[in-house]
Amino acid sequence: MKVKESTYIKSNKPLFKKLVSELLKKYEYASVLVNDSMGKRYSVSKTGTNVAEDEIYTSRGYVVKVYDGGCYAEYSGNRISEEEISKIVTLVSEKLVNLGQGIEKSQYKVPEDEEVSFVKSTECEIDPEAFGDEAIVKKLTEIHKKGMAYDEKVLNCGARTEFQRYSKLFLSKNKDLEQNVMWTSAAVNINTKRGNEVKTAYDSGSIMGGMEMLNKLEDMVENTAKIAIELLDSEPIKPGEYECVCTPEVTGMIVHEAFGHGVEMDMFVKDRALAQKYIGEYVASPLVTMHDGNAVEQTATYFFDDEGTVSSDTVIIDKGILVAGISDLQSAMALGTTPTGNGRRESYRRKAYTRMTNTYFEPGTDKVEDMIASVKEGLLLEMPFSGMEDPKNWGIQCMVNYAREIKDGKFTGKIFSPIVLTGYVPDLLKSISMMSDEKSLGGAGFCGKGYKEWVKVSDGGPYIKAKIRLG
Amino acid sequence: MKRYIDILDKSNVGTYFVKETAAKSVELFFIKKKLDMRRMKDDDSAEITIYKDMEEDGKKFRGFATVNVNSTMSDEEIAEKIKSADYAASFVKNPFFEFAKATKSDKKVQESDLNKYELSEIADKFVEAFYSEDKDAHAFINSFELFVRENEVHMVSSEGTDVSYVKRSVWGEFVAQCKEPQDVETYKSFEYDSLALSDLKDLVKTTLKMTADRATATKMPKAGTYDVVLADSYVPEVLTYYAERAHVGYIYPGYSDFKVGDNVQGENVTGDKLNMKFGVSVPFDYEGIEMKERDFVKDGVLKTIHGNQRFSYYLGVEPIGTYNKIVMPAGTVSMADMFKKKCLYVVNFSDFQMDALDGHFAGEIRLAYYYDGNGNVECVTGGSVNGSIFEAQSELTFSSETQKLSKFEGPKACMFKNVAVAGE
Repeated sequence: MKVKESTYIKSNKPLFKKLVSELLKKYEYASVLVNDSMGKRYSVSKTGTNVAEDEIYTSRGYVVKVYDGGCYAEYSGNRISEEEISKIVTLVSEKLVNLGQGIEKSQYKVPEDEEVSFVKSTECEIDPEAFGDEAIVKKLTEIHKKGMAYDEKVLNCGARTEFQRYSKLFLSKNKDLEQNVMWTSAAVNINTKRGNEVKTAYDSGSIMGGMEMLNKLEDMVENTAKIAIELLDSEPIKPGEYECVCTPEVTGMIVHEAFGHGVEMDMFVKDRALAQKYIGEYVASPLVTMHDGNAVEQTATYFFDDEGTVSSDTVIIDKGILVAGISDLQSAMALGTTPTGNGRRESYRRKAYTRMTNTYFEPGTDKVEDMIASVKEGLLLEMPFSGMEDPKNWGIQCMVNYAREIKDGKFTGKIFSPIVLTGYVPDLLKSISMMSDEKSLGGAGFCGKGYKEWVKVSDGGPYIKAKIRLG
Repeated sequence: MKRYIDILDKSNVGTYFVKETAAKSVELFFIKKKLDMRRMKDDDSAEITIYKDMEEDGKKFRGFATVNVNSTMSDEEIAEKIKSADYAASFVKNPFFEFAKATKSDKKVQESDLNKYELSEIADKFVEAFYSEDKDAHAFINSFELFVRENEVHMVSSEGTDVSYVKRSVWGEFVAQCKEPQDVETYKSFEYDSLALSDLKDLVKTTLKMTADRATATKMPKAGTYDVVLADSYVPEVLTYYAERAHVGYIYPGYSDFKVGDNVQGENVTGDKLNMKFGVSVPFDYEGIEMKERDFVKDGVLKTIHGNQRFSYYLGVEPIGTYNKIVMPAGTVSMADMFKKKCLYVVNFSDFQMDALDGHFAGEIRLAYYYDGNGNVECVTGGSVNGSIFEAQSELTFSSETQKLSKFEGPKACMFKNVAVAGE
């Protein structure tokens, strides 16, 4: 079924149209993005059960953007009425555009405002609101109990799911865009303990859709518990360079953190990304083709971005050659390029930046078992924990929960944890020698720009084999 | 707030807690010295939590669920949300707990010299101070984002809590760049709740110097174990391990065994013993509990367990709220004396994380100074630190130099003995 429209947006659309129209009397360009979103987070663990909406998932408001002849200014608010329209127009002209008086401003052109109008919605099989809180809590409780019962070494088993249904309206002089989107993600998290040290294993999944996701969660429990117990016998790894096979989840982290952030073109505008100097050059093995955008259905698939640019599929690396970056509207204007539909906001309360959406490597032709068998002495890296971008220097900082030792093509049973990936991004990407024949993407988490601006993304790819420096 | 309470009363839901936040901000975004975007924000939202008591097989439960509302919603929409929370709470069978004692108080306006000015005036002052140190073409400011915020928080419960406060703060982040001999950058963020213009100037100045030094660094540290010195925000980051392990949310599920009276650094402490107080960063925590300065760890011995009302009740401790500010006295060893011995002083990581669950602290090194113990110092970059607080905590050395951040007041630096470093 189609995700339903927002009645708030529908009933207030004439007011927002009037607001844009009033602003256009004073400014060459004016737009408004209206957001009405609702989402819930459910969790069941030893600490109890939680059902909550929070600000990340549930918000209602708008952001007005105006062009004052050289530069842009934005006002984020949530009150709208006939009376508020004149207040907003006055605030914009008397306060907002006067901020930073006496300071030199960047000079931009007025954006192209191509005429386009549509209403589009994604699909979901099981609407979370119809499925109901009771059924969701019941299912999560079963999963929690299953995890706790797996072994007495299990200290805690947390099962969680969250969904968001958002509706957005973008209006400018020539644009009238509406979208209704729903994503759902879920995860199971298992803790075990050795002395003071608490070990954690997790598995997660995400879809463009509803509570059909919960059926997949149940299958994750046993293997996750098994890994959490195995981690109790893990050892620290000896720092050095290793031949590694990465699971699709670890591939996704490398794609996203190590490379993806570096092709966000607002970083090009600031002269903060090394990638800018490597357009047209080999930055990866010829086996590598990388995408970002709407060619897949995952948690960051949408029809237009938060600046009213229609979304697209961007090929970033084509057979090892860096061919393009991704951009928001303002960065594209600064660079003289075409915006790719990657201008995203944490919410209507925040500025838009260039952000990734669904970012992944295309699959190769190898079988996973052949990849493992080809490793003489190396590791299988599993379960990404965290990563941080370094667009300026292409330094890698990614943390992986654990690595399984491989000798002469076979697992030895030895497990190392935690694992820090380090080194130089192109060295890693150029060393990719095998890629499996299937890809998978996951989007159970959020991505920050530096340490803030959290947006939903997904990433992934196939299994890859590469040489990686570990610490 | 009155509207939400009226609707709640009409809804007959019984027990509730409402936290309403009105947020205003002025935000300026710079590329180099040019203003690239101006923003203002003015909106409101509220979290309404509905509690539901149940009994099953003689066992008492107290469930709860939270919804998010705002003033743009109609009364009917808000009532519907409340109804949905009331319904959801009936499936949340958490063991019964008592609420913390209700607090009533007049609105508290956090004392600050920021209160004398309009938000836009504060922004102007910080921008002027910030760029006053950006006067070198060699190492310069690449980009800067400034957020001047005012939050008014009002919390009301059906059990009699009625507290509110207004707090202003200035948060920012910037990137310093140096192009020669290598093109490098340094990221820094800051948060002040006063007109700390000279602190900001010092931060900009030291960050620019650090960036110029990084531009000269080409070598990785040699792989091995080092006495590692961490400074600035990395010190409180490591100390969050103790605050998290002393939180009822960690103790109740068994992630932490901390008990009042425990030697949190272990039994054989040969380095500095920890002395930490919990400081007050907001007058009331998110459950409306009044915050006050408290002894946290004294001579390495845990004095206080903190956290929310539910887990506190389960553990039988007083619900005192969740603290996120640590205050410590200065150490006894100067940083100059630390650097007389062989050590690695890491001043910048690409990212640094303290994992309170497994006790590891780790990060990739952007810039470190290697002191060889013979008076020589070398800039190094790359590689990573991978330490364990369990192994390091008995031999900590805190600096006599101090720092004052929004959520930490105490030593500027700390030395950790024998930490693994990945490198060449």
